[in-house]
This record gives sequence, C-alpha cells and structure tokens, in this order.
Amino acid sequence: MTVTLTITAGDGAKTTVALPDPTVSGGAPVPDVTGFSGTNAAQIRVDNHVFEVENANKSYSLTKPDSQTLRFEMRSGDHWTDGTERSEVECQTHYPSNEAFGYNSNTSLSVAYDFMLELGNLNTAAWMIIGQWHGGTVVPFSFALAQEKLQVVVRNSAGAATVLYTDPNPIQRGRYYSMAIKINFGAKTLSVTRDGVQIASSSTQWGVVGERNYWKMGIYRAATTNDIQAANYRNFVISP
Amino acid sequence: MTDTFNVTAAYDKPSYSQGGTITVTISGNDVLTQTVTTQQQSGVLTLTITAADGAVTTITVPAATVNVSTTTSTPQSVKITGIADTSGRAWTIAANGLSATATA
Repeated sequence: MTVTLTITAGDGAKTTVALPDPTVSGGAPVPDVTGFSGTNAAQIRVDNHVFEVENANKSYSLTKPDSQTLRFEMRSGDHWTDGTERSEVECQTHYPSNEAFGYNSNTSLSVAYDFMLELGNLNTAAWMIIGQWHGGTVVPFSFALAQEKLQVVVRNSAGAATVLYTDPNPIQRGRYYSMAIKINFGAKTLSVTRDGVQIASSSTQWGVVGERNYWKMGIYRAATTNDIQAANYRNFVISP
Repeated sequence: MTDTFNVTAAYDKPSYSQGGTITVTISGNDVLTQTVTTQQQSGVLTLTITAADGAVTTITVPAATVNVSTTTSTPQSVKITGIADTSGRAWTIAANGLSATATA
C-alpha cells in the first residue's frame, strides 16, 4: 500500500510524491517489554513506562516469552512480601512528571492489551484479580475472575464493590482476548471493551475523589491450595 | 516554461502505534525555468578598408535583427493539495499545506 501526495507549486504546476505505507504496530511499540527482569522489586519497562515487579521471586513468577509478552505464573503459596499470592507488575508513573506517584484523578486513562489465561486447572481462588486500577485506599477498577468467569468490578470510596459485568460464559483458556479500558475517575467516564465489543460502561464516581491511581496487572488472588494459573499480557499499551 | 520539482516527503517517525498520529511533511520547492527570446536590431556597421597601396574605401553593413535569449529560474513554493492512501486512511492537510496528519 502507498500514500501518494499531490504537490502543487505556486504557479499551479503539479507533481506527485509516493511514500510507502507507514509502519503501524498492533497498538504497542516493538519491542514492548524492555529492560526485563523477573526478579521481585526489579524495574522493567512496558510500553516505555516503568513498572515494578512484585512476586514471590520464583524463576517462573514473571517471564518474557517474547518482546511483546509478559507471562505471570502463580502457584499456591507463592507469596509476595505482603504475604499475598501475587505476581504482578505495578506502573510507576508520576503524572504529570513533577507530581506525586500515580495519575491524578482527572486524567483520561487508556490501557489496552491482549490477555490470555493458559490452559490448566480451573480457578479455585475465592477471588482473583487480573488487572486493576489501584487507588491510594481502594481499588476503583479491576478485572476479576470469578471461578472461570470474567468480571468487571468497580468500587466506591468506601470500597464497596459493584459488578458491572459478568461474562455468562467461562473464559476460553489458551485464547487471546483484546482488552481495552478507557477511564477518567474525575470525569466519571468508563468504557471497557473486549475484542472490540463494549462489555461495561459507567458514568458514576468510582474510587475516592481526588485520589491518584496506578495500573497493575498479573495475578493477585486469595490463598489457594494446589492451584496453578498462568496469564499472558501481550502488546500492552498505556496512555498517557 | 518548465517546472522542476525538488520536493521530498517524509514521515515524522519510523513507526507508529495503532491509534497514534502519523504526520507527513514536505520540503523543497519547484523551480520554474523560463526562457524568453527577444529580437533586437543591431546598429549599422561601417568598415574602413585599406588596400596595400594605401587606397581607402568604406563598406557599409546594414542593420540586422539579432535574437537574444534570456533564461530565468524562479523558485516556487509548494503545497500538499491532495493525498491518496490505498489503505483508506483519512488525511487532514495542514492550513499551510506543508504537512498532513492521519490516525495510525
């Protein structure tokens, strides 16, 4: 494919200049993951944003199968330093850069990525988070896996949860879903799409007014026994 | 009259993320070359001829028409006036015509 420009001179003469089609990646830079380390507390970059690694420091806790993908594996008893079963990465953004940690509440936030839960045993955790906007005191937005069903969960300033969406069908393991979240906590706007189809929206205040928020992704769940889960996040982009 | 375009176009980045803004800019100009031929009358020539023995005479050469060619090169500013994109992408041309943008 080509892009052809018609150029006109001051005297009306015309010519054309052809350019090759611009290179457009699938929503993420190539490479998407840089400076990788799976070690707990390490700082890596995803979509050129700094993320901190939070896991139990196992060799499988966080790996990079390719330049575009992060793989999080969680086995029962894999505790992060806070004692929870967690393998996540946490966005370290200060936005604007001279302000405090996280994005201020009146920011139009956008996150998009491909998500795939690997084949394995059914989820047994009492609760499991697979992506969240985390505030200072509450988690105003999260993707949850209720047994095997994807949920979109929001919370108010008191931390009370509202389930905006529950998939009527179990998640298809081994299949990538294209996820996109657009949210502005200050403006009270929220839109969540999966494979280009909106699955949740809201114009309600979620979280604590004025509280800053930051993105986390991976697997974070209640304590389990003999439960192994692995999640892949591919072509992750976050804006701003 | 001939137009010689010395125009290049380039994207502002080597690659784009989906949803990002693609900007293409042009630089250079068009050189308009014009050659104008005018006719001028030469003056009358009077030649003095002297023989070996010293005799002198004169010859008069009448006036003649002389063609004079003048070539001028004038740079012309250029603008983007249209974009055809086989991918179907929609482009917006900047007001000054020197750049255009589209969504990746």
